[in-house]
Amino acid sequence: MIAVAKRLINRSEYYKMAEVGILKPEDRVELINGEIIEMSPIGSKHAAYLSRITAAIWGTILEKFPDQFSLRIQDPIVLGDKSEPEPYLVVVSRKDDYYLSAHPNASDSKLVIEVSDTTLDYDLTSKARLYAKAEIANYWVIDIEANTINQFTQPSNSHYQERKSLALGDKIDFLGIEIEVSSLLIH
Amino acid sequence: MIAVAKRLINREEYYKMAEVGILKPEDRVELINGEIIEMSPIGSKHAASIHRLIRVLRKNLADEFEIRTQSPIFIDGHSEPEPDITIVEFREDDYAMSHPSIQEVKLIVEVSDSSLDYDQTTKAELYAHAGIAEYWVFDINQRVILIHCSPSPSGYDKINRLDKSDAVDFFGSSINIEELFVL
Repeated sequence: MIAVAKRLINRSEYYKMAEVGILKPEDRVELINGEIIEMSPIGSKHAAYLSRITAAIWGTILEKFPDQFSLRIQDPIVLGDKSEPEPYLVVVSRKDDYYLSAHPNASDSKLVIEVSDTTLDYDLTSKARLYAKAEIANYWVIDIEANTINQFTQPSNSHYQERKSLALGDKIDFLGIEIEVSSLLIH
Repeated sequence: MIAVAKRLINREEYYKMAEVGILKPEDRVELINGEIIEMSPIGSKHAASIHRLIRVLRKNLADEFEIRTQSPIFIDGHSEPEPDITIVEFREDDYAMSHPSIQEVKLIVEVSDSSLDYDQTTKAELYAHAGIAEYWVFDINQRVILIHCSPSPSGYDKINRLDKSDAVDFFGSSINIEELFVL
């Protein structure tokens, strides 16, 4: 049975909705596959993990490759015409204008990190499909409850071919850099 | 696990989207529970079924009522469907001032082809919740009518399945189902 089709929103309609005041500055939303999704408010747990992870990424990836990468925190990346997620953290290619003229796109985004508790399911499935389809090479989902990291790599056919679950004591790698998982979690 | 929450659209926002050109006149859409749903293009069988229904039902309808087709009805802040057929109370202005509200709607008929599932679930819940006394789902493929009555907040309590051998009561008249189906 054919289900009904939702009228999807594209990026320019999404921006127009913000422009005319349908979406307000206080609306914490992102555009995922043509649907406007509410992002949960940031609790202290999320904020704390964000802080911890930022410091860890700064001290490792950005320390080793200062000219190649920069960090975006809770800012949009553009994935095609119908998606503009706002991941917690993205390691992007460094650009001289720091993406002043346009948000990073899929090929600019080298590592996407989401920090999850209530949205874990969605982040492990729908979001993973979205990022794999965009061919983002590295996607990490930090599971706050379990205090583990789900590492997704090898995107192909809208699916990450490799998936690892890492815990305290493990190391997680990014372009040859090994990062202690414990430095990314609060424990 | 809490699923993600969609940002729902209310009627004002829906109208604004049309006003600023995000929704265009050629967009065949309706607002259902805060989501904008595309109505499927109407095939000839669907169109003919609506036409036949209108012709037969109108013959049996008193002057105090009117038949509307594919026109919006106002349910609440998040829903403004456009049912295939709505029987409403007659109003002098033909609802020029405002779309019919649920108090003015007596019967809704949806002609179902590919949307059968949706019409029997989401739409039925919506109309029952709004207290629409009677809701017909006109299944043009199976050639049956599903008569939904006794609306309650959780859905219609009574659903009767009628086929071409049956007759349906329509505002006091009895109509043979056979008359209503095309092809």
